[in-house]
Amino acid sequence: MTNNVSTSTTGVKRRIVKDKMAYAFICIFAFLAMVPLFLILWEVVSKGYKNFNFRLFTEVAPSSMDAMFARVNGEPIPGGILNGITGTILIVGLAIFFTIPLGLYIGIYLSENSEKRFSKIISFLTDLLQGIPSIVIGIIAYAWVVKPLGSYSALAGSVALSIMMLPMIVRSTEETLKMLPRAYKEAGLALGSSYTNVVFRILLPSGFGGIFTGILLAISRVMGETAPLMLTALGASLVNWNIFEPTSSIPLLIWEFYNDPNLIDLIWSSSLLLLIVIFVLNWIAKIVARKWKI
Amino acid sequence: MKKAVLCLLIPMLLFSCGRLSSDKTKSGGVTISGAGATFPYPFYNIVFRDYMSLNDNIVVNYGAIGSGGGIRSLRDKSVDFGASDAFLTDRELESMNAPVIHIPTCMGGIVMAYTLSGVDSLRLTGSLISDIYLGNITRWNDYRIAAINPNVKLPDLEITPVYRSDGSGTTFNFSEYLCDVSPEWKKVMGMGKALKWDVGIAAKGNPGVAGIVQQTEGAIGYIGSEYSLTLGLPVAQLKNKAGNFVSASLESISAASKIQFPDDMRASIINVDNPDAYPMSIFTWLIVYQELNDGNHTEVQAQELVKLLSYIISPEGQQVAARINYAPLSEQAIEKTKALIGKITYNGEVLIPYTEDSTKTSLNTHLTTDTLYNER
Repeated sequence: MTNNVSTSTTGVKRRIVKDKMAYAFICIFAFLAMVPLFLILWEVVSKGYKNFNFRLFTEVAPSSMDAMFARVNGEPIPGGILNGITGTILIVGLAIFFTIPLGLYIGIYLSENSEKRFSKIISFLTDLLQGIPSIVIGIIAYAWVVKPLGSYSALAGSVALSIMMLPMIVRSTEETLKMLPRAYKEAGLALGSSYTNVVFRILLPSGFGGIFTGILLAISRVMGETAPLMLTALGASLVNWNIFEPTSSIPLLIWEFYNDPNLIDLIWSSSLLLLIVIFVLNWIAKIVARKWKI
Repeated sequence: MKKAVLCLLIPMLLFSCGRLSSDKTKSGGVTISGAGATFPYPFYNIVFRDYMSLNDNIVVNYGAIGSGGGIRSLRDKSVDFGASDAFLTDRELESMNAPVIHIPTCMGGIVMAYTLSGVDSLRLTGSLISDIYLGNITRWNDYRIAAINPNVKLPDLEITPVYRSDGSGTTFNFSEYLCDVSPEWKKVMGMGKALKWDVGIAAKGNPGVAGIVQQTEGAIGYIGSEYSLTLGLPVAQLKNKAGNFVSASLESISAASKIQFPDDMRASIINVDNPDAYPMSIFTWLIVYQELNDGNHTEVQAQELVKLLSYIISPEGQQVAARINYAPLSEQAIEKTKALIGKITYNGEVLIPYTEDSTKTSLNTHLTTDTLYNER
């Protein structure tokens, strides 16, 4: 009897030790995974803060020569990335405008008709779309929009970004709506509300947290895209609000700075800005997800 | 449900239709857009901005998407002009479906930048560069390098050649030069925008090569001269066809362009005969369609495009090039280019007629590209 008890306690002890060891290992590896992230953050911040000033938001990208003279005189590089900031707002804004209704409708359809064969095909294609490399989507948007319109444009860029955002919004809408209790829908229908009303007035608002989080994550995913925009939006050296003309964006400017020996210093402050924006978007997504928990 | 869909779709359609018709003539202004080579991007960046400050109603956009991308965009008519570091071959010309015109805008050189402490001046020849990149010469104090650098104390150090990992017009011109001077290079490596390298380390873009060369003792790499002149890197003097050692400067690159050009300006200025010429000198071109009434341009746009081209080759435009270390075009090149711009038409009518400067065009122009220069 006593013998039995002692073996069971040693068994428990061994398990506790194993548990502790596994915990320690996981902590070590999680930390190791974070090390490069912090090194990147440190690099971007330490190199980017010098040019991270008011001008960055109020002036367009400088010319190569101004930057060269500033370098020779040891001054900070003049100018900012206003054309990139407004371009990113325009392109991403348009992409949001195109994608949200489409993504929501597809998501609702999938969650309401999950057993239909057609839905299965759509889900499969959505998953496939998620895996397509961004550059391929850029080429597709080039063929669909740039070639027919005969000009690189912000519109073409936003179409490319829309395609990239779509699967994420569809998935998050579908999953969130599927997680809602059946009782919500039944209660709404029992009160005599129409099906459309139930979906738009009850289901969508209840799932707001999850859907909104999905949208924010989709936005921050496409915010830093360069390759598809190179093939569609092309870039512009001035602020442009016309959606049918070439437009710049922050990642496009970073690529252009990289090609110019005089402007290389600006890469870091532009990257820092992009990093901050995406960090804030992710942060808001976290807060929203926590607050509107289903 | 239907209502909701309609409510969203109708404004979207109206919005897009309304904007479509307003296309490129926003507030009386004209937008000209181009895309292509990354090598002249700093020059175009400034010259277009200057042009915009002189002409309020004009916006010029340039996207540095690479020479290949520029040519493709022009073929698809999604830009008004393309830009390329390599002129179109006859086959590429046919694929453009309509005649195109090459407008040279400026010149540059490719330099061999190196880092060797205690060595301020270094001389190299094309065949030595070829041997270094082929791995036949691996140490700095190799007797073949020492033979042409009698007054330099070369260290007993391994050579680290640096090359471009990305497809690049610089690599194309670099390998074109080496094919010209080294039969072994031609056989082993050949010519191209991206090659299969056996020795050395890779770097991305001109800044990448410059960075690795600067940080690595004993490294050597090829970069655009505007980078080395701006960043102040030590570069090797190269032996040109006449046997002189010259360093890359605006003068020596300009000297390379003192050749007889074909009328269409599709010419290579690599390894020319001029005794003052820098051997690895290159042109960069803007490419436009000869007939601009293609359904995509209004007459005003066509006129503005031609004015922009004339501005780039005007003394003001060329001065900008010189100030940021690109070599300006020679007088003969500018005359020929003016004649080319004089061929650009709208509805068959010439936009800026070329007034011949009779003293300069009497030279022999019967030589074609193919007889003067090797097939590209």
